[in-house]
Amino acid sequence: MKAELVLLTLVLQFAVLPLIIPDGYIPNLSALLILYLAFYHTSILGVWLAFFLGLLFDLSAGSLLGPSAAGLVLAYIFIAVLSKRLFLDALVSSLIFGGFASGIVFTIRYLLLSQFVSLPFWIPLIQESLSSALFAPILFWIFSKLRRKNVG
Amino acid sequence: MKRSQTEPSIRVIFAHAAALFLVCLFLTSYSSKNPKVIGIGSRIVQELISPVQEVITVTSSRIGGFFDEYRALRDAKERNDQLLSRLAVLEMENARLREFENENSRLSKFLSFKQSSKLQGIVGRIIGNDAANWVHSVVVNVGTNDGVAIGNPAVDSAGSVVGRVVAASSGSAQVLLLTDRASSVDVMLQERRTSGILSGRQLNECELNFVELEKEIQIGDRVITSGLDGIYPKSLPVGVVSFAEKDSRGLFQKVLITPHVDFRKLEEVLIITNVEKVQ
Repeated sequence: MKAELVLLTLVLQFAVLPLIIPDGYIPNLSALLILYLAFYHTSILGVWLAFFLGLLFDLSAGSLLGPSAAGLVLAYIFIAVLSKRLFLDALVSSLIFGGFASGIVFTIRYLLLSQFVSLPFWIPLIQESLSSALFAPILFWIFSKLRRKNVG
Repeated sequence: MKRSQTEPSIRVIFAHAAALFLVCLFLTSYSSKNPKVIGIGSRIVQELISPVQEVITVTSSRIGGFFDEYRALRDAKERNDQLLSRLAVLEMENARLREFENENSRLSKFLSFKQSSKLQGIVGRIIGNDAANWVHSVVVNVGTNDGVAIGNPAVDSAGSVVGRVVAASSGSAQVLLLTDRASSVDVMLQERRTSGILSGRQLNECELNFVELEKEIQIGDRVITSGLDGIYPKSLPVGVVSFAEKDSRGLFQKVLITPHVDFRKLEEVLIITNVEKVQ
């Protein structure tokens, strides 16, 4: 089931969304997938998945290898800790956590990248977090459907 | 949603995460010093992504193309409707301008006739025919306010006799046509100088009366006004002889005249207002 989620995320993130959403507003679906997995499938495999997704993200961005991977790994562990105390089912919580997860990944990526190149922070952070937040309920709904289908 | 029941200890996950984070830091540092590494990786990822992107791009462009064509067809239909209505307007305008052109041509002939002769008058547009079938007359849109008086002769643009005014109001006048039975014009044959009285017979045919038997008349002889009746000026063309017969039992010949004027196509007439001065 995880393979389906990962494949869907990759296709949407790297092939579909860049074609239909303007630059700067593309949501971070990898962060949303990590958020979802951290909440519902907390595991060692999840950490590794976060790492490899991040590497793939870095490779597709063509800048440095590691910043996104570091961001996703840290986001995963952070959310996994929080998932013991919080719920993701409600629309509002999925909006908030979607934006939050994307924000964490963006911030860590920025912190690492900014050691080497000068980059803007606030506006891209807000753009990416907002678009991720708006996309989170839709993506989580699709993930839930896929999960139920596999369970059924 | 329920969480997985077989979740490992968070400490183990944390340990993995910490290790991977350190790996990430190392990779970041390493790739900053060796950009070739990321270049090769990027190309591989791009090679993997590009076929999927191509499929999506082609599909979306086809869908977009379908809607573009639909929009183009819809726009073309709207444009076609607009052009058709524009064409109808322009055709109407064109017909109106052609009408003006024809009218201008006819009025120019009237002007030319007036300038070449000493006659003065006013051009009247025919606005109606007599309602009674047995009276050949037309109504024109000029009347006493324009100087028209009863008895004024009317001619066409070539100066051929049309008839005379038999009734006039302030804004219109009734012209009795040459072809009416009540019409009578003193005429003569232009070459032979034989005179007679022309009266109407039917549409586009008149009868020349009181032509003596011994006078020579041939078909095609031109007929003009003599000026003796005090109504029509002298030498206005009237028509041509179309039939001539000598009946030994009678005192006069039977002569039929075809007028120059085609009364069915008549649209304007010149009412001559200075007949007395000319005569």
